[in-house]
Amino acid sequence: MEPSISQLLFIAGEYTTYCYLALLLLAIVTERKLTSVSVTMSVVALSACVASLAVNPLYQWASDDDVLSKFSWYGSWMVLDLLALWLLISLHRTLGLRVSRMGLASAASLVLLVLLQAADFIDVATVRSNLLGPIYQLGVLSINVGLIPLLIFYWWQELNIRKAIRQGAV
Amino acid sequence: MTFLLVLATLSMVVLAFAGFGQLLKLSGEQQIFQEVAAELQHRAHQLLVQKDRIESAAGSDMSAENEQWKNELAQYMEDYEQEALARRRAYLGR
Repeated sequence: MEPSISQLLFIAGEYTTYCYLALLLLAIVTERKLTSVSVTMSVVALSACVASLAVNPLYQWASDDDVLSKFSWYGSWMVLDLLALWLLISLHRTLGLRVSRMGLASAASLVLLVLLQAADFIDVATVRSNLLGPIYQLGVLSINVGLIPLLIFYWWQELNIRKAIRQGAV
Repeated sequence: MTFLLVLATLSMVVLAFAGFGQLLKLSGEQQIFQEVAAELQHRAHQLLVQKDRIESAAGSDMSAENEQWKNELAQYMEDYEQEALARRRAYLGR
């Protein structure tokens, strides 16, 4: 049987944390100093690690059917995403780094995740239409998986721009 | 209860958008100059150490070395401006 796209996404979702960690190592080795690239990769890898640690306890909290335990699931994810966003902002500000397109892409993914969590929670807490359930599940997964090629692309672009500046082509 | 939780959710969404706005601001022109300044501080430190060495050394070729140091300082200031302008053109396109 041919695996469907959603099955492939679930398989890829298992390995995202390792991908982020590998990208972080690569960033530290190749950048050799603190840049927006390495800061962004650290924050993304950190939040992926925290997410994989938090998913089981949160799942147990959220197993009850009342609105408060539902909020503990969605709210915790939103708080974790906001913390990652705040970390991106404060690290760039205190280190005096310009936010690269990589940083903006990962921030956009965090904002999208918060939006998805908020939309699904409001649906679960009020109308219970469950229309957003599958969108939520696949959306979170595809944002997490899709961020990896996006980050690699922007990193490659950043390296090209730096090379152009070094050669005086700009 | 539900109302309060929905309100908290919406405020977190607003916070997320505000944070993204902050990051957009941090990718602007001002931050480019700040970044270049931080990177060239290292070079400035090297130049100051060199100056210190020239001043403490007694020798006949002191004026030649001093002249070279002045040239390097001028080059450094030129580099700073050119690097910042090049980055601004590359990243912001103007």
